[in-house]
Amino acid sequence: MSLPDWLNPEKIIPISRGSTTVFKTGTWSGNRPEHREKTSPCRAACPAGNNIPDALFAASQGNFDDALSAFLEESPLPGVCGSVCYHPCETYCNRDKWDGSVHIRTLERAAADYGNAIPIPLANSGERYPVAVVGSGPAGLSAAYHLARMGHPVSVIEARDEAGGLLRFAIPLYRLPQGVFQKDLKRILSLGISINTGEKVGTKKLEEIRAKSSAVFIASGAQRSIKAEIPGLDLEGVLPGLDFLQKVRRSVLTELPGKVVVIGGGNVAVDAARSARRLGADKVEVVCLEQRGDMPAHEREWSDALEEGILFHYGWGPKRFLGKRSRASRVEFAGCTSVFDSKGRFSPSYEEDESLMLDADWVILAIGQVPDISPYRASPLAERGFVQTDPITLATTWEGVFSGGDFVTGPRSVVEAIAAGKRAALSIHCYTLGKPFSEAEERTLLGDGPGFSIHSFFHPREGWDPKSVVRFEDIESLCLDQEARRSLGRLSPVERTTGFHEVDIPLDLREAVQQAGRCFFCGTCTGCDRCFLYCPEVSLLPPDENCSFYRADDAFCKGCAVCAAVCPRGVMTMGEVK
Amino acid sequence: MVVKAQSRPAEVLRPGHAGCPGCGHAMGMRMVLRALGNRAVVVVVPSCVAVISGPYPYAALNVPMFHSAFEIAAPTAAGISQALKIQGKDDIPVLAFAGDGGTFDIGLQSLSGAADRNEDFIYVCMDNEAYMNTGIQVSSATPRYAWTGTSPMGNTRRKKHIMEIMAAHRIPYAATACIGFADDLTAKVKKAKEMRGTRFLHLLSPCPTGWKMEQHLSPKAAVAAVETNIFPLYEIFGGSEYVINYRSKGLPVETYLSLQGRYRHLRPEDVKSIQAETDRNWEELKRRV
Repeated sequence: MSLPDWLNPEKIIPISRGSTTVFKTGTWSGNRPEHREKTSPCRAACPAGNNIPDALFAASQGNFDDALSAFLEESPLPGVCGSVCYHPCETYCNRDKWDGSVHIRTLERAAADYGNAIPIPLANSGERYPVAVVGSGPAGLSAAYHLARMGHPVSVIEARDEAGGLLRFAIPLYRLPQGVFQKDLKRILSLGISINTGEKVGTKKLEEIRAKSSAVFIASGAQRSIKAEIPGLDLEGVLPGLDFLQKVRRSVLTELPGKVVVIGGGNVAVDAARSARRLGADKVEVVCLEQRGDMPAHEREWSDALEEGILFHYGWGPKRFLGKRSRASRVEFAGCTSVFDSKGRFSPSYEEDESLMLDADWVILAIGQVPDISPYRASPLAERGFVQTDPITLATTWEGVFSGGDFVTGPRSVVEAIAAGKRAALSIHCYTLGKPFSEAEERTLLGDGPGFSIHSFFHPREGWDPKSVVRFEDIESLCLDQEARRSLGRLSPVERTTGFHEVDIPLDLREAVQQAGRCFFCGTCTGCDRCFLYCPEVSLLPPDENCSFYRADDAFCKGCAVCAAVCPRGVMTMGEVK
Repeated sequence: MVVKAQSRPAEVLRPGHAGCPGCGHAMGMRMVLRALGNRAVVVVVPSCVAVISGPYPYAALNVPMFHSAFEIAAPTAAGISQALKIQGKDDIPVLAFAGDGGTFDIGLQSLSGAADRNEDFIYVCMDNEAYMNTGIQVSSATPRYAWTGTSPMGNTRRKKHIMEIMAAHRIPYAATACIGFADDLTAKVKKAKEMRGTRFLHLLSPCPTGWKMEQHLSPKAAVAAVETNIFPLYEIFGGSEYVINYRSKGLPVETYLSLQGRYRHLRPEDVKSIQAETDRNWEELKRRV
């Protein structure tokens, strides 16, 4: 039925039937947003280059399997690092500039405790080269782990009767419970790595291994305690620091009655003192050359020791050990006026008039450890008296032999050893394929380095700029909630010293989810949809089957940059029309 | 990270509209409309909303939209709502968009009449605090001291308290919302949709052009307005029951003012006076809760 004009709505009132999509407003501006993921400052600060934002995002969703999987991208030992790492990540956390950094280390431990994951294989070239690793400490295990993920057959040779190096025989149980390390180790071994324990390697043995392998990685650690030329060193009751810790871990020493004097200001000294306290020593005193605050030991370890009733004497160097019937009974110290000479070299000078006399039934000498290169006498490794490597490739002067970790650098941290192992793994991989390692490293360098991402070398992450690090200023603070960093549960000093219970109480599941939720996930898109939702042009396209990230619809985007402004993690970045 | 696909509500606003880059109104309309859904009727009156909704014969909305006269957004919506009921389509919500000029000044009388009769529609006042599409002239929604083309030395009058006016009508629901708090805004539209009678939403949507800001600052300015208590988020049920929805950080008003070129001429004593008035209003609001 046709209506008369005066009743026909089309004639009375004009009706728009077209769509404004005929107007291609994209020409209004040459600016365009780009979905460009960046690196979080925590990740850039982590020597191992751990993928912290992905891991913590999964944890914040209660998915600890994926959280663990993300940690396993770069490191084989999340449980260990989650327990003992000195966590530079937390120092550089952007949230530290807001209301306290995220508990990254503890969350890594939570991922290891609550998650189960199989390490993702690194796509390999199909060519497999046998590689031998000497030493099964963190550096050796890390190298073996990554090489195995690339498909190379790896055999590890360990001098002791069990794998783990200092993780197994030095770090006290109150810092690293055995079960945590064992879970990590089991996962590493599940990659098909063979570990031959009780086998010592020297020049001759290494020649044999070299002949059978495409490359060798030596990571024997720094295990020789430095022995100073101090009179009375051979008295009974005088123990080198590492030997002492090892005896405690092997339960050779189960009690330590009497007075204990620990000499040294590093972490081994503090570990020894705290272990001695737990073995029931009546009095534990630490004597170091350095002044308070200059000690190389981590501050947390030092303050824990103080809480546990350990006494510190700063600025004293050992002069002689005095004994009764061949057993140590006293130590005499001289005042130390400076530890380093004008050129910054270790060269303590003493004020001989000042002296300190301490009673001691046990003296633990923890004045440093050095790599033991004596087994490699008469090989190219020992030419200079220390192992020299290329800092980038970790190659030694001996063809096909790589080395890293404490064996090269002297005692450092667990995470730096893990980093060295990872570097060696990729370097060896490139070496066996005859490709330059520097290019591989350059492509995946996190921030200014030296950390890099081995995972993204094999599984490139689209739209990620690893060198660009998100600063706090890149995050819109107006949109941030206040949720101050909470202090974590710890045993009281009394509870701690009754045994070797872990001092830090791990997070329970609920707390872990909550604490992970504090992460800003700097530089990592979490799919929060804010850029999409705030686009006034309805022209920001969300991820779909064809594209895994947000991008502007060129036809309509007016380049207003709202999407970049509302991104809480600094991912959306303004660029130009391509 | 590979972002997984998620289900999203249908978009009602279309691209290609004529809003300025970074337009707060467009963001606000988009959020309101996707919360309302694509089974609805929308009324617009002259305002930036009318500009955005498209020039004849093109429309930027994916739902039936009626373009009415400046002063009659509310009665137009009321009439359409009545007509739909007569046709038995009483499940279709009717929503009117008007600007602050069309609400605070020109449409106030007819809005009052419709609210008085408790007509069944949702009224969204898109407040950008001046007549922006005609070239930035002062309205009774313009805050004190703000620059506009007709208040070159800064507005001398205070912003009219539209929420109190609406509360005085004892309508079932009145709420403030802003584009900086998308979840809150969405929840309020959905809540209003489930109710009947006159429902009023006072939506602050910053205008980069008229507020003399950079294009990307609309959401940030909206958040700052809330966090400084200049524009608190609250609801009024039945004209008397007040609920504050968001506990702000209580930041100093400079956080908000310094983002905007329209406040650039402020002297320290002006800022102080804005702070004092903001504090007074906030205390007053808390007393009502």
